[in-house]
Amino acid sequence: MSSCEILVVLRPDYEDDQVEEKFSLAPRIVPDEPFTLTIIDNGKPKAKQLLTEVASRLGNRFPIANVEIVSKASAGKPLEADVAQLVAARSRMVITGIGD
Amino acid sequence: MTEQLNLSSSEAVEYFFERGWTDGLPVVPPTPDLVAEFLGVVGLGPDVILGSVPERNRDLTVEKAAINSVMAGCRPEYFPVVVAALEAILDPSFNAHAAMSSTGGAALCLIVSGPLVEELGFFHLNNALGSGSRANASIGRAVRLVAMNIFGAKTGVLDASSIGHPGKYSMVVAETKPPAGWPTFAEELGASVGETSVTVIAAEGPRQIANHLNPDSKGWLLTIASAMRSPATFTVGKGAQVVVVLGYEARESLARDGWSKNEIRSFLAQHSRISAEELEAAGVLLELGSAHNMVPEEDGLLPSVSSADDILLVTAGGPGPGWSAYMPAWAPILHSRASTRLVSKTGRSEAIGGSDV
Repeated sequence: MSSCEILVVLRPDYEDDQVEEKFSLAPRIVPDEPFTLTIIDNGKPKAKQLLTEVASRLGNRFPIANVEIVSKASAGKPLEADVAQLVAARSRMVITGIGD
Repeated sequence: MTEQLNLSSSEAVEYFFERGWTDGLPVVPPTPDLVAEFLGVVGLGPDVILGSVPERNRDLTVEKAAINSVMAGCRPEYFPVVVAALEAILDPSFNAHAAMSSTGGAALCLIVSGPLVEELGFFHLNNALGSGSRANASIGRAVRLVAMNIFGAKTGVLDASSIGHPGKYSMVVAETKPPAGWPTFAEELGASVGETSVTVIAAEGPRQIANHLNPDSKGWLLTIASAMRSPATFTVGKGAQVVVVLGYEARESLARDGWSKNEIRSFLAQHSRISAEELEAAGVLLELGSAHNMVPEEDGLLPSVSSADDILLVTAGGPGPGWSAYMPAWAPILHSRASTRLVSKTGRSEAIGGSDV
């Protein structure tokens, strides 16, 4: 085989990387009515404490009437769909954490 | 349809490096004829979907699996094992998304048990966990290349491994025939004689375990249990699945002394338990009030394995004075479980072993 011979090969990677373009960020609206903030604790050590502190500080900036906490059983799994729907229905703002 | 690339033959390998399509080693260029040969072995169409990682909105076709298997250096006859391993990895119980992205840096460890071990030339005696076998090296590598190229398990993308380990190139344990009277690993999971199983477990690196002088087979187990309760292991005190590889002398002496595999598992589960004080003496702080709630049980101890049945007990390794090995799962079972498929020489693989293994 000479060094200039053309070799046909097949691309090995995933070829539909355009998912990002199908979505856009939700509009950033500052709530002016009292609302429920939900914290999604991912189950990592001290996640709940960290996010609770974040919620407390947000309370100085927004009219947060109520803070609810949802704890995941595993940081490695997404929130169950039915729980996510419930959280979305009840909350005006949701905070979650990822990583350690 | 998979894109075809026209490359100068002298530059093809370098092109794959440039595109980030390798694990750091050169690959075999996946030409259409080679890929077609792999597809022909399993008799599946190129667009058949082997499984998905929903969190990444990606699925895996047989053709992409074949392309990456060619690149890894597999022979065509290895491909049914790769297909079974990938289908096991894409079982929801395995939780591939977490296993491939965690800072814990898990390998996609395969356990192969059955007649294909001999037929395909896996190392299962000397260097069972070492280098030198094309089957061990390339089948594990194919799985890793799929994780990288299809599911984005790459540094700086969706693999956040803090330190990782060499098993992330390839990590395959091929079981050697156990001592007389012991079932094979595959048989324990429900395989029939003549069937080969592939189990996947997201694992930390292997720890070699030495016991050179003790004539008492119970001594072998105490040594293995001591390795299984090392406070430095993430899952110790939390409980997880583990792989225990019984080396030549260990398995022969245990079988000779009348130990069954169930008795070995029970012994190891019990003797790998650890106290909060031992963990704290090693500087390990207990996780409390989180998903891993490390509260000592009635005996005042914490588990290193979830249950005796969560010890994946495998026989491998050749003669030599007293070597065995142990690999803990990267995370407790609430995050990920080992998953098993029966290898089918043509077509899709079949799930066995239930949710426990």
